[in-house]
Amino acid sequence: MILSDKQKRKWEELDTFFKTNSKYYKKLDNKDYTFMVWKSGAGGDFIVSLFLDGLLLNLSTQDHDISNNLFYENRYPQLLPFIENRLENIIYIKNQTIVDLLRTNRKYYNKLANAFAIWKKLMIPTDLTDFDFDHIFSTALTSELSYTNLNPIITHHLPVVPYFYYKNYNKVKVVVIKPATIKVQQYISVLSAIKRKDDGLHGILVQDYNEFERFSEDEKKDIADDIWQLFNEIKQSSTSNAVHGVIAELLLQCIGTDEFKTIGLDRALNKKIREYIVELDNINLNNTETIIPPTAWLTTARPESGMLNFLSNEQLYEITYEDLIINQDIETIKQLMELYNSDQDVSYYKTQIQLYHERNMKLFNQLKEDLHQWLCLHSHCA
Amino acid sequence: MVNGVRFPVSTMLLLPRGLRFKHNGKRMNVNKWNDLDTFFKTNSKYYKQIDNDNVVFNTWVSGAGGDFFTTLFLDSMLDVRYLDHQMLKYLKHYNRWQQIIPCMEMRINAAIWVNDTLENTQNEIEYLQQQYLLVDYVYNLYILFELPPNEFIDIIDNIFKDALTCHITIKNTHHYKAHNLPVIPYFYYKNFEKVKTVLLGYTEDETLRFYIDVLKLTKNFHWVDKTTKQLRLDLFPLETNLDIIKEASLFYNSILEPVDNIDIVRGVIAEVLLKCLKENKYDVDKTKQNFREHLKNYTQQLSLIDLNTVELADTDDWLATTAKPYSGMMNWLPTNQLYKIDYRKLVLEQDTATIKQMMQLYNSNQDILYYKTQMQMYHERNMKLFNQLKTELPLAVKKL
Repeated sequence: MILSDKQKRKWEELDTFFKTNSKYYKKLDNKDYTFMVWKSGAGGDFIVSLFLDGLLLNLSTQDHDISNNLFYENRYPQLLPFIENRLENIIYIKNQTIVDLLRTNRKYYNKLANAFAIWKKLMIPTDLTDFDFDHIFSTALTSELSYTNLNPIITHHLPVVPYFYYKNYNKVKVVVIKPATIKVQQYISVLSAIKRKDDGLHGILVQDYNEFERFSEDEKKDIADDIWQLFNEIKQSSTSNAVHGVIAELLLQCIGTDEFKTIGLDRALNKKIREYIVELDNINLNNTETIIPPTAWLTTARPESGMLNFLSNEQLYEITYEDLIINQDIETIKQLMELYNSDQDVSYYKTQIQLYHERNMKLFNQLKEDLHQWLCLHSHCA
Repeated sequence: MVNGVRFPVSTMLLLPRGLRFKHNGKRMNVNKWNDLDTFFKTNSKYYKQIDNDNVVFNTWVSGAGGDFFTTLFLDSMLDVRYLDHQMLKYLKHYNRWQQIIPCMEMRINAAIWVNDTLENTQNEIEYLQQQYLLVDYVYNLYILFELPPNEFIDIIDNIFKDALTCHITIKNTHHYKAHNLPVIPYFYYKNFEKVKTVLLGYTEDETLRFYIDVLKLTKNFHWVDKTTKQLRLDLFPLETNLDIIKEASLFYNSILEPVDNIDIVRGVIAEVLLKCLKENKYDVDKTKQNFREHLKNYTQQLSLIDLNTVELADTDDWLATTAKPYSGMMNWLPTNQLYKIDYRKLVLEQDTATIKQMMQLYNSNQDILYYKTQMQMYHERNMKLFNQLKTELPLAVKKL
């Protein structure tokens, strides 16, 4: 597939930047890296753990939190090198010493924001002072872990930046799992919110939330306290794990407008939940309306951007969530088996994916039920 | 051949005298190898069949810091999930590190549970009980060399085969983390000469062993089941009445209630309580009467620890015929297969020769000063934790 003119210009811009500024430009002698790329919620961790036979044995099932994630949220831990995680680690572990576990140091935060701007949005920061991007990327993109003859890496973004670092990009394979239809995309976002639980609220003050941008530091602190207080009250009154993540996310969304100041955070949340329930009720996975990514996304590293569409079929494997997870399409499964040198027979993977999907659906339906119930209780309608 | 076990000729000479001759405890050690060899040769369809490449078993007793050492020397710090809230808590409060390399005991456990977890059977009580029984048989064989009932042999054989076959390599070597010596793997691997065992944080010193045990208790906080709010079932003998566990848990929670820094003391309190319960044959009333005395004694023992005092530890007969790291069951291995990394030298003294040996073993990329500094900081963080416990525990005793 060909790239659009805008995409071509973006590639040229990036190429000029790295050629001029990186001492590792096309110098990293890479192995046969296989990047698994998926949008949060689309189950890439499960898929890669399933097809790399035996990797699932490394799950810490004895760890209470991990087994809880598996049992209740159908969420799989990351067992392979994860690029976004590595980028963050390089910045926060100065010389691999933990310098700031709570991420409160603004200097490091700015570096991370810059690194993510390049990695995710493919945007070159205007000020490169005190930003050793070359060290950051060259380190993050080198992994010593291999699995049989593969060197698997996981990420939520297309490996566009590695193109400028790896000497042998022809050895790189990219597997992208992404939704094809709008409703499935919404469904995946819901799963993502459920499975993240309250992750988003931890470190609320140091995260880069657009919703917080217009407030002063003191105001932010007060709002964060209110959010946590309300969230903890809700958590105590509700035993359902499924609702916690969604409520955490909706609480953050409430801050996006000033309405919460006048009507109060709890009422603003109730309102958000009502709207959310309507959205949930409208999710029909059989709806075939396809996704047309916003123009702004096309020149980013988002999985749906198409920025790597120039790669051959032997390098780029685009798999739709509908084919793989919802329909358990045999040809798609076979393709993944070949790619990951999987040992079991095709029916094994088909069954496991089907069970995975059923567990997700159960979770999704449970969320709908729990949210209705929660709203009913908190609106005193019972 | 020693009592039927085929040791390579070169290693025969390395067997300690006691292993080859008549010293009671050590003689049992050889007999145990012999029994195991007969058992696996007769019962395992994978006996010496796993065609292994280079494998390293990174073995340490819980608390001795092996997770940190392997992560550090394998240059894998970047793959630690600092973002995960739980990991952050481990690191910040307990100086405890995430497992980066496959963990043998975890793989054995996962080989029992994972496939079934995928099929949503976790709620079937009867099934669960059967699985717990299987877990017991598997671990009793893996760690204590107790032979399982015949009807479980095949399934256990497959579990070991799966757990011992791992496709992950780091720097071209298969690494396992383990809290037990690879005695059972010896009967599965075709090329055991390619297997290295690194005993990380090893010590013959009783004082250090106690110190490491204290660290283990401080760093482990999974004592209570989060769902039932009771002490975990597996901390009690299998036949323990559920009412006793409930009552003991109520007592445990009541002890912790007035404590200011629960995170630091909960492990030690759980350990002392469980010992006390065992001594009193799980009579909770009797335990309540003398628990304070037990905790006071532990606190006193803790206050007397002087890391500069070296006291040689004993290995009793029971320990000598287990796969536990201090058993000596693999002392017959040559020096290029068994590496004992001394805890005092590595952690307390950050000895250059020991660090160089580690760097060589793990093919480490940074310079020696880097590892030295990291070890020093790791030790300082542990000491801070240890001193915090020494301060907090007497306060907990007072509140009892």
